[in-house]
Amino acid sequence: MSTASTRAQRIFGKTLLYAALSLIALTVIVPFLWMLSTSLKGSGVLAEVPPRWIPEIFHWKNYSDTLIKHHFLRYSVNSVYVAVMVALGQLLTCSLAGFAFARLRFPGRDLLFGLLLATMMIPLQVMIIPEFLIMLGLGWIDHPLFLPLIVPSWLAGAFGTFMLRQFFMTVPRELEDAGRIDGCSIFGIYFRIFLPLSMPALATLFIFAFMSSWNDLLRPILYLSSQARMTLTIGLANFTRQYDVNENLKMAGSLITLLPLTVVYAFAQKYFVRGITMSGLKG
Amino acid sequence: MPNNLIAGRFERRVAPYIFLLPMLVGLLVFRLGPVIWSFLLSFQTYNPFQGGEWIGLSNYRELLTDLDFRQTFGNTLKFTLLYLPLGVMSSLALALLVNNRLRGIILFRAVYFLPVISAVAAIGTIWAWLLNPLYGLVNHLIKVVSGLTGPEWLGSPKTALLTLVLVNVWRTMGYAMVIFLAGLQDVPQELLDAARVDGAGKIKTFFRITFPLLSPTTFFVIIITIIRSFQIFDLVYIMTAPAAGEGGTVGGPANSTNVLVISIFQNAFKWYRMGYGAAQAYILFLLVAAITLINFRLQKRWVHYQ
Amino acid sequence: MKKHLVVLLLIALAAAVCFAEGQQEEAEKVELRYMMWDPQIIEKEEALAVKFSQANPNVSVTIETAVFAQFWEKMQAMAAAKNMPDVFWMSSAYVKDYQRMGAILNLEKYIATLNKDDYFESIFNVLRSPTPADDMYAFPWAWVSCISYYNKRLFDEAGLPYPGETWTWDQMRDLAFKLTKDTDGDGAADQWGYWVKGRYTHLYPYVYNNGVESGVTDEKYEKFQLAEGAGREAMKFLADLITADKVSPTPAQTKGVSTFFATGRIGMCTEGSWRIDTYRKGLEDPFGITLVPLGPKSGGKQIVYGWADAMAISAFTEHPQAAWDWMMFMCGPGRPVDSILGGKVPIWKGNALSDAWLEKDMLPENKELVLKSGELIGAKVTMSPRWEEWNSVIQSDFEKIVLGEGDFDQVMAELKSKVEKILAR
Repeated sequence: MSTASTRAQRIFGKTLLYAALSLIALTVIVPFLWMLSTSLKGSGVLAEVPPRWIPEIFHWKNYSDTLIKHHFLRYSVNSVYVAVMVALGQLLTCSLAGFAFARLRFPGRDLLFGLLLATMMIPLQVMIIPEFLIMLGLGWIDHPLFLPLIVPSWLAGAFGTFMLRQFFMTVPRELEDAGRIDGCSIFGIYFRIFLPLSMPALATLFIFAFMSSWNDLLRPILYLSSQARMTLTIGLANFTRQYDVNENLKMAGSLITLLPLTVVYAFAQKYFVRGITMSGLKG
Repeated sequence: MPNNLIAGRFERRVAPYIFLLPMLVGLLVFRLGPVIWSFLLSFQTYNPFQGGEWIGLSNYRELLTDLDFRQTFGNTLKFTLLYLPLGVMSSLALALLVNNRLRGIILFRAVYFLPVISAVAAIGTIWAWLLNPLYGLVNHLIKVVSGLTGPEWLGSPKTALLTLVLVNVWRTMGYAMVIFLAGLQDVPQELLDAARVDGAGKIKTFFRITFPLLSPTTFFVIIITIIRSFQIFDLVYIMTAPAAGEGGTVGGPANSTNVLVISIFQNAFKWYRMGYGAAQAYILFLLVAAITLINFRLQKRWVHYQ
Repeated sequence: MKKHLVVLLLIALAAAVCFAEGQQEEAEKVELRYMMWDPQIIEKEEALAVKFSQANPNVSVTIETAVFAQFWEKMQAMAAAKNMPDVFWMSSAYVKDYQRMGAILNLEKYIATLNKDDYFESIFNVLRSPTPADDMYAFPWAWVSCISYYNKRLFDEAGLPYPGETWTWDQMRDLAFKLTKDTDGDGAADQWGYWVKGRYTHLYPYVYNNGVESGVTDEKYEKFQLAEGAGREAMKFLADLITADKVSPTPAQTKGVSTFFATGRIGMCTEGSWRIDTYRKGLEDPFGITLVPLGPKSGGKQIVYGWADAMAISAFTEHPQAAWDWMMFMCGPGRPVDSILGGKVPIWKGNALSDAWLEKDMLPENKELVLKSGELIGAKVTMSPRWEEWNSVIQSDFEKIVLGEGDFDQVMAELKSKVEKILAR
């Protein structure tokens, strides 16, 4: 076998590979590009055949209409508020619990941890009906502070606990001992030593929790009903069912819903990937 | 020796529970409590405004004769049976493609993962428009390329479920790809080199070496794909709910995309038959548990642990 | 002398203050909560609230809205907490369910004080519960009916005369055949004479117009009437328009398009009168309206399928009289006509007959036909309890039939048992 032909083979193989990769990448990108393109079209040209990629006139008004007249700006604010609160809650609860599982000794620790992990396998539908009844009983439906969307995440979080526990277990004992010598209580050790060290893990959890909350559709459907309180997902879902809303506005709404997370993703990809991959791992 | 080097009684006994408190409360109130409550609900007729009555096994008996539930159950199985192979194979294929040292491979990986982080509400809206039978881009391209009229996608009961499967594959292939990638990168390079030296072709290497070594990862991907295929609410809701004035119902057309999670939602939260909905939720629970168990049993046959 | 004057003045001042305070305490400050779902008219409603407060200074009204898609869930949640708004929008489809729950007030004694000639009384029966002969539990502020629409441009192009008011199913079908065409020559029809799909406004008017006076269910809300007799005939006629006659597109072909008639590819359809507003905005062609065609068993009698958009008073309200006054204000002459869009009709006759509503300068040219249809609303037209649930099932199963997923009689037989099971609960 001559080197020339192997090189040719390799180049051919590489080209083929790039072609396949690009083709698949296209199937991912094209829908988003089409969304962008449609969102800038005027209502009259939506049904034109053949469909055009770059609209003749750019209707930027579609965005200002969607944001203001159709309240998507308000929805965005709500989504941000809820997602941040959820993520903060997760950080608090899961770091506390993760620390306990990683560093403290108490009876039934491993059993409890196993139980916690097991709950990740329970379908959401089994738990959502009673959860709704609890919220109903508390009078929290359509609560102005979005409590039914936030409180469950402040009190649960098997995945986050698991992830932080794994991380905490890697912190060297010497640091903990050093802390004790300096006079720290166990709370001090948690707060002054472990937390600062686990910034990457905390950032991953924050982003993962933020994303889950941002994209959540079921809980907003159940717990939000005033227009002013909608988040982006439920706002978009309702928006697409209104009869006087055309596809261009629906696409504008979709872009507004997708944009924030996509931007963050472009800069902090690895946090997303890490978080989501770990959400599947059960040790 | 400083006093606090040895943790005091307070710290040993009480501190753990303080740390665990939020988690424990949540576990009880939002996980374990509801599991039991749902179970009890499934034996009642429960309407949140008129209370409930104990009716024993009536809900389950009704499920057996409910024609729509039968269809729902069938749709759910159909969905999983279609989604599982397509999903696993596509992500494996992607992982294999991406597991090459090429320039810019990171960019491709990032792109493939993008749909995973995108809100399902938006993805569903975009694809519903792309797949519109009369005005969508996809059918237009089909006509341009082949001259044929494209299928009716979400409009026809024959194709709607498959459409959802395909969109979901598109949406989630990046996820399992990343997991497979991690597994692929664990395959020792020496083995692959040795195979090449022995003259084995790429395909043989894959089936004799890579795939068996990958089997624990594959098994894991199969399990989570199955579990996730039962949690398909968002996509179905957003893609099958009718537009204003369109008629029909969510889970349509003609109930063909009415899967368990949709039916539970409708019964519990649209028609306020919470007992009936809870019974269906438990059926879902049992179904998932059964399939997972079967998979665990079958493990021995094909999964090679190191 | 001066000192006495000062003291006198002080006493007078004190007395005046006390007297004024006393006056305020006598007029009770009433705060009403009012909830609705149409964001398009919220400013008008708020203006009405201001006007009402000016006329009734001790009453203030706060307006809450909920998106329609979640309106009923929110309402149910509030009913469970016994914390409902004092006055809220009520759909004809839910009156019976809410009455059964004991969540809305019986309005009969208030209605007795009204001058019935001011209102379209024919619509009142739909809001009576449990049967059209019982008491009213909600009051209409507007009503709608189902009428037939036709695209004038398509009729003109085909050289066909516009349908009259007393046309029959066969005549309609005949016109539909003539209007179904393949305009772009690709071998498949892309213009249809009619449009029907699994939607209550498309289906039930035909049932009523075939002599089935109480519609989908019997008067006792026990039996399903569409699987046999005249009811079956109506459903079969409609299903055949899609499957056998092919004069209507299938639901699959129209997937994702809101109101297909507005695309200009449909010759005729039957829809709610409020679609007048939709088609004015969305349809580029001129259109006309007429009454729904008559079936073979109608005996020539039009039974119009209409119902009310209504308001109800919470059974837990602390101010029933103030709530009633507010409701009457909102349903009466004070409501601006332009808050009742298009083909919805104000319940206050004066408003309905005004030029502002009749809109002679806009399409359709014969809008007063809607008023005529109102007088023909069947006395037994009503919406059975659990309407939302069994209507969903009917719509879904109709789709099954027309999409080829089941044989007509078999699906109807199954549908009958499903609907009767729901009614029996």
